[in-house]
Amino acid sequence: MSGIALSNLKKSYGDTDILHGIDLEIKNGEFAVFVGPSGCGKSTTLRMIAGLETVTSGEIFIGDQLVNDVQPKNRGIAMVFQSYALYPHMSVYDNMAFSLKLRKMPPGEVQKRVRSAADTLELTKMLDRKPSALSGGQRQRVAMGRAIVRDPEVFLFDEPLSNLDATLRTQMRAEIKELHQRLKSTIVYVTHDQVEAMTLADRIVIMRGGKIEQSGTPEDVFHNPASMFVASFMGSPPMNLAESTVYDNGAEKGVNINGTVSIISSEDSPLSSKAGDRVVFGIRPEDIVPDFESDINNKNWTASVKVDLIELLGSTKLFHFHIGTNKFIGKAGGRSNIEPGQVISVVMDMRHARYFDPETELIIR
Amino acid sequence: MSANQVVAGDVTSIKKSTGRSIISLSTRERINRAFIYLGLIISSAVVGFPVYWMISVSLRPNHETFALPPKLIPDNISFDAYFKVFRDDAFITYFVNSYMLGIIVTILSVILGTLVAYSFTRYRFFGDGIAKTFVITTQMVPAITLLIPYFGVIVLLGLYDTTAGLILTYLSFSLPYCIVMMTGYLKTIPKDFDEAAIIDGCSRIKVLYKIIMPLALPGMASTAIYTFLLSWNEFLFALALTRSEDMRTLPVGISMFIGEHSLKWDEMMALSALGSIPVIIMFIVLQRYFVSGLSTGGVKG
Amino acid sequence: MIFPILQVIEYSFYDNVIVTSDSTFVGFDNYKELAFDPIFWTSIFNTIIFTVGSVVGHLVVGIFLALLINSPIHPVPRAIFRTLLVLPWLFTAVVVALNWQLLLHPFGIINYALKDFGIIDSHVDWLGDESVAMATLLVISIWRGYPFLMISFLSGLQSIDKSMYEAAKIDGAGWFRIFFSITIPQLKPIIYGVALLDLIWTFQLFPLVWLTTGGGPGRATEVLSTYTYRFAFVDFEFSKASTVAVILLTFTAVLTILYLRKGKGKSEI
Repeated sequence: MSGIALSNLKKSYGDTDILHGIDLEIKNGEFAVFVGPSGCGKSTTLRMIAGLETVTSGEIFIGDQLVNDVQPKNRGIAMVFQSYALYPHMSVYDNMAFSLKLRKMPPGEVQKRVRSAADTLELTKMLDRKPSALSGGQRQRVAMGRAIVRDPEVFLFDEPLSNLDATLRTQMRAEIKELHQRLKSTIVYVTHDQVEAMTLADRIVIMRGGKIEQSGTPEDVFHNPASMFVASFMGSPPMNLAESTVYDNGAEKGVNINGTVSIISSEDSPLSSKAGDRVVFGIRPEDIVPDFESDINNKNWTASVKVDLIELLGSTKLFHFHIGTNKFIGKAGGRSNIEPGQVISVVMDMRHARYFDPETELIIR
Repeated sequence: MSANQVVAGDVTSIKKSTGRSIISLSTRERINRAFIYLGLIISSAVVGFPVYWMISVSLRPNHETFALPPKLIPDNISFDAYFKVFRDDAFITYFVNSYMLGIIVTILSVILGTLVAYSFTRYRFFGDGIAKTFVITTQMVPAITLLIPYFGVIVLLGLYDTTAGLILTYLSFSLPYCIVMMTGYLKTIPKDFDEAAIIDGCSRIKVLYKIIMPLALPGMASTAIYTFLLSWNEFLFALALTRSEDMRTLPVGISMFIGEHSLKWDEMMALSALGSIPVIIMFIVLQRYFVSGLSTGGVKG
Repeated sequence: MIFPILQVIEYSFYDNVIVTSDSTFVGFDNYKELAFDPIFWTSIFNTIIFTVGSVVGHLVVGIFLALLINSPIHPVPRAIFRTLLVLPWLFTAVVVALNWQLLLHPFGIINYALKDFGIIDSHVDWLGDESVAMATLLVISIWRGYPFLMISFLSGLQSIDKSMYEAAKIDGAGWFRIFFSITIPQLKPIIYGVALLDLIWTFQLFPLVWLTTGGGPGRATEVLSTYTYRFAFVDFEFSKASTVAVILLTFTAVLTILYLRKGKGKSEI
């Protein structure tokens, strides 16, 4: 088992720079998830770790070994592809045994490993079938089995669940998590689905435009987004963001939204900007609740708003409202009596508010 | 069926009208179908008669060929003509030449074509477009126009009247064709297979013959057969670039008998039938590929 | 492929190429000579008659048979008829020529049958009589060439969305109306592409003409391709042959440009 270290890793195709210097350390046994919109460079990074893309500059270490010029087969990795890439002309058994046979492993050992992997993945009955005779979920399992048999130092997953339907995806997500807990191997996992990232990761690496926006634990990334991008990318619905002006009347400091609503900041999340500064005020929907449901008793944090729209999610109700041109979403209990058009008083829990610089889009600490 | 499904409206009148229309529709359909079958049978008879006559003549003694009145079915079927063809050294030479030429050209161009096509699809090359233009030109430029400079070059290289000359000539037409066909085919095989195999521990060569070739086999087979047929049927270049009896291919060999007065029609027809059999068998086996190659959409044969 | 084309164009401006090593540049002399050659004009005229006649024949027969095969009949006879009707396409030109020479022989079965039915009074030498040779050649060419168009149309017909026919039927369109308002417009790109392709190929066709009539009798069926061949490999006048070849090339180039421009991405091959 070994960790992975990327140091100032760059990739360009001709004049187009895809990666602008990635620095990252993934610890031994860590489940790291790369997440970001398409074209952010997450797959390229993964493929460079795998050795499928050449390194333009920078270094990749797997364990203590610099692997820049090491053949993919000698990197101690196994990869699960988005398309699964199961060889159509080979049976499930042969698909799983292929890499072991190439390694000239004794036949007995090959058989033992394939059988044991098939057992764990409940594929034993399907070993003689061709991939075309399997369902989507079963193909996904074979793809994982093909990786498991090799007992690699590092597993690489490239959007492995994106071809499955929603129910199967949730189920396979749990299975991958279980697999990691059992094998305790290092995993690098690429996805564009932030829910997948949140649920699976020990460490989330959020990428955008060939750079790492933030890397940290799911809690950290969720509660302390480093930038407006992270704040709006993680969480569903995303964090509310509103341009506002800092005011300071000596006794109280807070933000003024649209010149109409003023909210005082909390000591738990201090506002360091000067009076008159423009800041982007961010607050998660779950931190905006109707006054009558809130146990916070702070008149300075309330605002009177008109509800535009209600979305019932079952256990919760999302209510949309606006302050000036800024749109907000708050969360109420599933049984709350709110109607569109109704004017209600909402409480914003400023202890969890975040402030961003509108120029750099980074968090102000 | 539709009559039972009618439920709404004035029940009696609907029943009446649909009932009537259904009867007339089905008789009309039956008459239509009879006409269609009649049309198909007559067309097939007209179109197929020359083929039938070829086989029929090949199965009768030569003196019965122009018997009056003509006998549609020979009095007694004899395979003598076929035996004579097989005993004739000249005919055997034509067959051997045609098969040898076809097989060599096919193997060379399919293997080389697959290799080149693989590199076109896996590494970004500008050659793809060139090969395509090449194929379009070979299909559009009159063969007779190309023949003259080819003749010049083949004579210059001292390859006139040699197998090598014909092989080279045919390769120049079939190789671009194979490259384009195989490029199209290999494009449908996702790169993921290559990458999975590389991670599994294959070298590029191993990827090609362990993963790509088995997957491309149907494509290679149809390309191979098409190439073989092009070579098998080719007449103009084989005629112009060879001279000696030993070098003649089947089409050129048969053509030498055209216009001769004391024609052995039974043997000629037997030879024609024998020469056509490979093509017809290949067509029937590969009908689906031929048809889908022509089709514009994803039509199933 | 560019090199041989340039080469043949170069040849056409020289004298005595290939056969002698001391050929000289003669400019447009070969072209001038050709312009005053009546046989050249005959062969152009013949080529056009042969090409247009063949292509029109291919189109009519091809569409007719494609429609017949595509009608709602049992799939097994459908497959059998399709294979039978494709047969002429599968024979190499030599076999076709030989086959028809047998059929059209003065004492052959066609003459016998036509006389028996009272259509002709005496045996006709179909390939040896100047007045009928071209017509005969056309029949053979149509017989040989229609299956390619038929198969193309057939696959085109099968790719027409069935719901369109159903919609038209519900709208009250009859068979005739459906054929001209749906089938033909839907097939149009294929018809156009395939007809042009056929035009290009028939224009340069050599083996079938050479082997059935050899351009004769006299020059009754001489087309540009046989004329070129005769110059090159009968008279060994490669310069003149190149000149005719260049003219043939010019014709096909124009047709090819038309084909590539209009039919882009419309039909394979």
